[in-house]
Amino acid sequence: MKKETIIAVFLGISFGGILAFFLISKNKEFQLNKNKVIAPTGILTQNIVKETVNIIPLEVIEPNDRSIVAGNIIKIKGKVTKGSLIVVQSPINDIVIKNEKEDFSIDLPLALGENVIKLVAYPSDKQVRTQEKDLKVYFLREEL
Amino acid sequence: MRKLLFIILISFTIVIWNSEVFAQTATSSPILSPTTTSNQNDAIQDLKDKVANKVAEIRKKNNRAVAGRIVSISDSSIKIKSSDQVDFDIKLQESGLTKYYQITGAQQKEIKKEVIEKGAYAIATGVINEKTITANSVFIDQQYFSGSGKISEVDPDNYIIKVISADKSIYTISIETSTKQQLVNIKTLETERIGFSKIKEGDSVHFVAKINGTEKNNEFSADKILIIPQEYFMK
Repeated sequence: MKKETIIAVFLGISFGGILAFFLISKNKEFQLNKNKVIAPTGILTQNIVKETVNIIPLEVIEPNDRSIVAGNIIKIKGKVTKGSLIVVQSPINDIVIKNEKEDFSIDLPLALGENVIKLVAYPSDKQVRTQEKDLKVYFLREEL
Repeated sequence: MRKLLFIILISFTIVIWNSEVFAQTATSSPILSPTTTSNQNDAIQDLKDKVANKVAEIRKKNNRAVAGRIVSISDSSIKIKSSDQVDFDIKLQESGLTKYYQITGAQQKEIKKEVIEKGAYAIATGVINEKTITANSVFIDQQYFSGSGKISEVDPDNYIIKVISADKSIYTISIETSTKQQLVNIKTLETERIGFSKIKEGDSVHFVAKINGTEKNNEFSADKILIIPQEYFMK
């Protein structure tokens, strides 16, 4: 075989190989862009981690337990995990709310005398336990 | 030297101060014009009001309440046992300083101490010192109990439900014809009236019951119940 022929065959094979490699890599890239990614993205995973971390135990900021008030309505202020179902029950009233924020504020009418108030928070995450708080508030008319 | 100067300065200040005070006393008392007296009276009244307000504020601040069922009554004290089984001694003040009231619904009326009976539910307000309270007022009231948990058993024949609370206590709740029965609408979260047939095992329940002190084995007759259907937690 002539020397020129060998060079021509070699160049042909090399050129063909390069072209094939280029086409395969481009096709793969095109296919990847076309398909939907099923695996969660980085941002999504971060959000999930954040939500799991933000578990706040039920906390009543006011009123204090065993406090005496002179008015027939009190504001119950507290904190609990966002999205919890909060049930407040007293002998004269029942209030059911879903807290959109961590902080909540509920106006509760009082009966004259002792008011036994039960607060229960059902977190939206089923893995988290139901939380309860008991309060006794006294609405009394007395001369001091 | 510095010390000496300091002492002289302090002594001089004291002498000046005293002389000013003497001067005031000497001029003010013998000749009082009617305007000055009136001003002084106003000032005294103002001071009295301020002191009275402050005293009331302090009393209010230190005013606490304890409640429990009356175990014994004597001339000078009332002994009570709270719902968490703590004994308190209510010291009654002499000369009628302690007032007694009966609460019935939205009404409160003053009563005599002699009317108060052993076994009644009493609320005492005053200054607490450990397990003793010096009572300003004693109120006789209706005791309530509030609980919640999951319904483990429904007895439609006897209108009884069994409830397991978060601390694993088991309550037997009797539903009377007078019991206010409500259910939470899982879409709107509004409460709506229901009948006994709507109550299912697995639902969550909140209940309030009147207590008369004779209850045994966590058996209560419900004043009202509020059901949260289990479907809410399946959403």
